[in-house]
Amino acid sequence: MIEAEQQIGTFQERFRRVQNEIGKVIVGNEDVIEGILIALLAGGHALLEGVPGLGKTKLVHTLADVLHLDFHRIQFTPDLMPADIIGTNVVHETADGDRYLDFQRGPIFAQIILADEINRATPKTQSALLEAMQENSVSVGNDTFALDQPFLVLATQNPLEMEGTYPLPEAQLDRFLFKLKLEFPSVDNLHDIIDRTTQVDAPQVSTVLGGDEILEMRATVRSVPIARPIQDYAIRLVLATHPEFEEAVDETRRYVRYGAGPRAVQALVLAGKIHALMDDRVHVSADDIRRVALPAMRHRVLLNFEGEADRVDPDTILQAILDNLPGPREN
Amino acid sequence: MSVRPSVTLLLRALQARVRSNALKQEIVDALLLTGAIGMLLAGWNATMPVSMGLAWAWLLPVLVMVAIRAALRMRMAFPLWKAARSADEGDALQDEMTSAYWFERHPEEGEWVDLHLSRAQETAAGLDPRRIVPSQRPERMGATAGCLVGALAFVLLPVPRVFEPMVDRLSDLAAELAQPESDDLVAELQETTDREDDEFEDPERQDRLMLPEPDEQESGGQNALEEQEQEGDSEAQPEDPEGSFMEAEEGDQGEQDGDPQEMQVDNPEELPESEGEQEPDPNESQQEGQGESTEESGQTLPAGEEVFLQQGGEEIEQMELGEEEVGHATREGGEELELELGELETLEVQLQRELLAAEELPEDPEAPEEEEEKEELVTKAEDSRIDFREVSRPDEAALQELLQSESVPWEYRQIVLAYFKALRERDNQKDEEEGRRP
Repeated sequence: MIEAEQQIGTFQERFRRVQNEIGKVIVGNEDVIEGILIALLAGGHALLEGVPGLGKTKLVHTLADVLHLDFHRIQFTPDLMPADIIGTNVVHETADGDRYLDFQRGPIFAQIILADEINRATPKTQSALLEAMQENSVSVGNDTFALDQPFLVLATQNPLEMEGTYPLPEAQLDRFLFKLKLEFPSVDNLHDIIDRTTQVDAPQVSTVLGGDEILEMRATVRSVPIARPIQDYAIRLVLATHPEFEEAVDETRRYVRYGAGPRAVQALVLAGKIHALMDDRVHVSADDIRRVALPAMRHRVLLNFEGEADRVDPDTILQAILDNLPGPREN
Repeated sequence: MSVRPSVTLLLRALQARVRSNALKQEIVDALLLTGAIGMLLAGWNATMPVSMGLAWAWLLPVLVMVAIRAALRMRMAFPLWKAARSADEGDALQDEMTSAYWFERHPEEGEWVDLHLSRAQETAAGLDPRRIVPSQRPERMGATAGCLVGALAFVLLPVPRVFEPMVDRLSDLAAELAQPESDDLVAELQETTDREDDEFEDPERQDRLMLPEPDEQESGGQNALEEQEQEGDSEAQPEDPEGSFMEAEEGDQGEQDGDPQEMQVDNPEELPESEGEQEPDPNESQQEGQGESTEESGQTLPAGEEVFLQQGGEEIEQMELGEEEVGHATREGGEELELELGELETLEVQLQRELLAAEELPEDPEAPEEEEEKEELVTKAEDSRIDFREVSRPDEAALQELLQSESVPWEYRQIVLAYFKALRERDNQKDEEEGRRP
């Protein structure tokens, strides 16, 4: 028990240390920072959505600086090819004149990947990330290359510019643990942003966490027990997004074509465990599940024609589910 | 693990407190129900006596049902799972008790589970069950107290039995109806009705009541028809029988001042000797009157009509007609009617009331003369302007008055109704016979 308590203490200390370090550069958006860290510690990936100028790319750059991890940035464009992400075999010629194929690793071979404006690339290129995000490996020809751990993909997309973009396919979206929305900063936050970026001394961050420590934190997260009633609540929460299940609410039956999948339950439980650890608890509560429900499921709910015609926000449907779904029940 | 009983102990303490609150509420509900029923029974007993057996027959099943319901609700009301949920929600424990209760029931090996249960033990030890589940005051206390006080008030205080006089009055009425006198009167009235029916069915009597034969009508048949029309006119005048009776009484008083009791004779035994001598034998005098009426006046009064007038309270007027218009024969027929009146004891009270009412009226010296003129006018068939069919039945008014009179007991009214019904049938039969006449 002492070791477990020490792990909890260490986890909290490291987590807050990263938060504070990122907070030196990024103003506001604490929920987004926390979400990115949760995604990192849960072994998932995050999709950042926001209008231009909100600091999405800056946030990921700062995270890469704080974490002692390899960082690559991929600017997604319509002419980007999968090989530009994964890598390609290049013909090399030796001094003897012999030629051979050598695999030139692409930018995917890093620990933190910034897929900037991921929806500007074609679905073919977007799908190049599928294996890497799910299997943490890359297959080229007959060779499979394992990616270094921890591996984190942070993708950004602009919700306003729809012309010339390719919405992410459902399979791609389901790979993201969280979909985080960056809100426009408040007046106070804007003052802070101006103060930090228009002066001579720009804020500097230091590396506070390495890859091994992150892997330890991931192990700590998975050690947290969860009681079956709480797990059942998370499952019922996901089932409530499916219109054909009895847990579905009226909004679900009206606007949803297909609900969240099993990866959503995994995301809810893992994220709930991280919230429990950060709250100095060794058990997961229903509130932990509720707190991560929106970022974990908003991109997994597919609207039907009526929902899209009415421009229904999936968050509205999820909030209705949270409000109407009964709490944990005896199993 | 030593930590597990602690959580269970807390949950059982919470369970006990919740059940205690529920038990108090059940007791209050039972008292409320008992008080309400008790007040109902006590109030019932205060107004009308209720036997204890009936009271317990109401109370016992209700009490048994309440006890069974309370036991079932206490048994099923609050499981430990709900206690854990209430602890978490009551003290914002973030589902710690819920999770710990589940891990107690489903043990898992692991350092983290032990740590979780250990922390849950510490949390449970620091919880106050009284704070999580405070002692609740049962609801509906005021209503319960009111019902119990009301029941006690009905039992202890001298509440007047408001319905008791009504019950006594009904009892007295029942006893009065059951008295022998009433039975005698009923039997007497019934006997009278039967006798009237017998007489009506008696062939000899019917011979006397029958209309004259066609040969007799040659001499007096036309007069008889005219007489009937005149009688119809005379009957048509008094819409109110009492009023017509009073007119006739006034006329009689003009002639019979010396002997007013003559009009009150219903029973021959009550007649003075002077009058009693005139009719020593009712049958004989009846036969004589019948013969004289045929011989002297040549007119025949329908006997049924006479009886009808007697029974409808119009016998006085008939007597007047007999004296003034029909002649001596009619007068003797009136004597015969008096004999028959004497037998109709059932209408004695009604007749006496009418006579007394007539006596109280002021006498008009000119009234007899006017009455004679009227009677003379209506007696002559050629002067009558009233259609025979428009003549109302005097017995209808008499019947209604008699039935509406409070002095006639309820049981008698059916007899009276039957009596008048028999009269009506007989009149109808007579009308049919007259209608077949040429």
